[in-house]
Amino acid sequence: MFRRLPEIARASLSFRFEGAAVEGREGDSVAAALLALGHAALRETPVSGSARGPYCMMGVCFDCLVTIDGVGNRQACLVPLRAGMDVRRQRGRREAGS
Amino acid sequence: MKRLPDVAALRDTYDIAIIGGGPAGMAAAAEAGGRGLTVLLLDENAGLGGQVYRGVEASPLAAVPALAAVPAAGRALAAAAVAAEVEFLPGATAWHLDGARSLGVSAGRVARMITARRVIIATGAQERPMPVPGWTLPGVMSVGAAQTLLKAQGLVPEGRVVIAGCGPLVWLYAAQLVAAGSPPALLLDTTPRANWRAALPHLPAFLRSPYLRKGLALVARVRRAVRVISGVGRLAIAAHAGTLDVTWPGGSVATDRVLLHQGVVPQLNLAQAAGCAVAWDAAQACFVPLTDGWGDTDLPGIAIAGDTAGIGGAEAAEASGRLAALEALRALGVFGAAARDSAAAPHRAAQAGWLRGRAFLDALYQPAAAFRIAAPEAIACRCEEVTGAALRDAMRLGATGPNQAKAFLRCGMGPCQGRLCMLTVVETIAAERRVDPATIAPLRIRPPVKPVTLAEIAAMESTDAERAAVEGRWSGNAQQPATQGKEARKMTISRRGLAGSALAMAAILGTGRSAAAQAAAWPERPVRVILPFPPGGATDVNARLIAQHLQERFGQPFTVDNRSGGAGVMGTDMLARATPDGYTLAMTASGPMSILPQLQSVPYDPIQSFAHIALPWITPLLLVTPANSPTRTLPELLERLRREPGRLTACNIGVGSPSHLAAEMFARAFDVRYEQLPHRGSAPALTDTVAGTCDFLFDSAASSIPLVRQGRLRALGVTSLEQAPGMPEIPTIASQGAPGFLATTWSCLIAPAGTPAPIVTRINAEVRAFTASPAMQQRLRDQGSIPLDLSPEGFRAYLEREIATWGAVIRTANIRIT
Repeated sequence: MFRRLPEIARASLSFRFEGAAVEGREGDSVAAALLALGHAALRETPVSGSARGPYCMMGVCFDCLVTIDGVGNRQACLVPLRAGMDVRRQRGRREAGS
Repeated sequence: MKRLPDVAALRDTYDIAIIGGGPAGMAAAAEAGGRGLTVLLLDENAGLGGQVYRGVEASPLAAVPALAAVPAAGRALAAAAVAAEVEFLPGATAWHLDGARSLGVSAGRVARMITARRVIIATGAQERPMPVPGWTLPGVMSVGAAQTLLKAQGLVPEGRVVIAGCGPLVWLYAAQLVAAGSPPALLLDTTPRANWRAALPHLPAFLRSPYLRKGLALVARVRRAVRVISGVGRLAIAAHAGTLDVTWPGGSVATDRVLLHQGVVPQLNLAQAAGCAVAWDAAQACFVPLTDGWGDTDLPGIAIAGDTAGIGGAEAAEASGRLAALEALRALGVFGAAARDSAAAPHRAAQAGWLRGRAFLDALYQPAAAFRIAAPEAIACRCEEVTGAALRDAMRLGATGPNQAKAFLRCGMGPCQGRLCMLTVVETIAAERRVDPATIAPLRIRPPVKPVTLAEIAAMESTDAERAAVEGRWSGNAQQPATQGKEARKMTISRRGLAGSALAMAAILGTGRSAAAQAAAWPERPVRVILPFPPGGATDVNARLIAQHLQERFGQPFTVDNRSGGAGVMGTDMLARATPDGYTLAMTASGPMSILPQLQSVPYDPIQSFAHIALPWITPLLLVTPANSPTRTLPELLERLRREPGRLTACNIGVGSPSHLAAEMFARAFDVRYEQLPHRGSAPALTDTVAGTCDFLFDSAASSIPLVRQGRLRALGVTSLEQAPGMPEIPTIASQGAPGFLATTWSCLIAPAGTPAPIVTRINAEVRAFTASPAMQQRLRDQGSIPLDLSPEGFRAYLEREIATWGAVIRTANIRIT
């Protein structure tokens, strides 16, 4: 869905999305890395369960909420990608304790 | 610039705190640094730049020859900020700001409260919502979002791309995609053709604007490479077999990605939460804060710079950031007004230059009304999935603005707190009611403006007592620490044989376990919290906050169940009849507990039917007068009431309401006479008082304090026994000649009578710990409430006193509801 301009060489970072090993790049936000991997939908709404994905990419819309390393309600567009992160889609409201 | 690693590295107090590292924030930092003051710059992103210069410090586009000019624009300014003697905390969210300039900051999932002598809000702009049907579908995003991906990561959309909307950014981004070799398949221009007529008078000024040549060149470059359809008046997006179908009158296209944009508006949530006055700006079709030429707001020490103060673009924002910093330096004694003015002169001239012709752009690119209001089938509030149709239904039920829409529909109550729906809701309601949006009050925003987790609050620096409370460590023989549940359970089970007949009698049917054993194991399944009121009111919000805390502490869902009816009597009665096993609770309020049982027949006894768990805080009433009332103090009002007996009018929010009863108590306490005029609810009573059609009003601090803080009402007294922490300037009525004068409203947590005492005690301790958290204390101060730290016995005693107080008024004044 999004491709990286070929002139840009940034080191790759390994992380997990929905349990699968995937790669992003240095300088990515979590949302940018997932969009570059072709994932348009990152969460399901608590009200109707419909799929949503990043809309504003600047921390305003909260439609990119994901669970990162077991912590829910993280704004994927604001969190810098780090090697080894375990990222999962957020389904409904975040769970207790997170 | 010193980059701070985390919130622990922050000072407790700064001379100047600048919120936002875009052009205005960077310029303010560059100007304010190196003057011997402590200056803090905060930004939510990992580096400087804000949105317009996103990634300016390390842009991937520097390596792309065709786009290398993109990051060059903000580079000099970023370098000036980096060279300045300031502290910079990146990745930091400002979630709280108040009139005392207390600032709540969170970074790396740790929260901290600091203060500043001057605050410059430079939170910038956000894209205006474009609520067309299908704008919530995955694959649809804003043009600004796509451009952020280009600037920060060098990402361009693949496949078939449709850009739809209007405004300079549409053309700028389309031109950048052309330069990147990935032109969009189609550009649907929604600029209304009629806008040209409105824009034409502003054309002469625009002809001298530095933006003119740049703009014309952009449009020409895009038109050469991209198919453009102009005058598109309606738009809908639907997902179909893996693609997005975009339809407009006269055409449709299947595409992979849709990018929407219709201009930018100030990002005001933090400024509004602090209490800055805002007003509707018809030219920009949005709310803007009221600021003077230096960016100063009506709140002392709080200024707003850049696009947050009204859209002017990056270069004008840079100038306004410098002006705000210069005024802050003057206010802090660095130099006098003359030095400030001469330093400001070049920035004022630059600002004027960049703003020249802005009126032309505002008029030309004002989005069509059809794209600013939500069609019935379109979603207005993305968080709570409220459609245009639901909004219109709520209007038929009496919702006259975004605050009522929130009460009816939870619209604006989700995590984005109205950022992406407030303008849509205001303009949709204005259009349906055929009124000017300027007559509609904006959504009330209260801190925290971004969700702060309890884990973050728990990690905040606090006293030992608070920390012990949050962690569940407390002393006292009456309570079992929740964290030691297992041990406690073992103990009570081993004692089962010794338990007296009372415990045996209390054994719950079906489980075969004693009440004590059951209480120790509680909760083993979800707990239902009945809420006898509709969603969206104060009690609803409180109940949800408390339920969330209990859920996190006890590890079982606490589900709020709205059961409104009979002003709270129905849901409260439902609780009275529930099984007393700790799995059904209710968050009810003073009305059904202490007032209504004395005005009408209710099927429960507020003392005997319940186990009283927690009454965590009370909200007093304020005696308010119009801001221009000739009586400026309570003694002056009393003097006038005695001089003109029966001539003055007090309105109240309804017969039998605390507002009405407090006014009766007041008449008796001071032996004065006046006319009482009941209204239907708080809003019309406040409106009449602001307008001066009545002389005074008792109303809950929660609803009246914002108007007092805005200077639209004057508060002469508060009805609590002590002054409220959030409004120490307002004296109590009790201290002004009526000792013991007490009239409060509150929410409380109760369980059916017979609920095991250990369960009641455990929940009581958790609710008190929650109330003691700094964030909650701040929230209570903001809404004018007073925290209480009551045991279950203390709660019952308070309730008994209230019942006696209200009962005396109701009987002596012979108040009846019909």
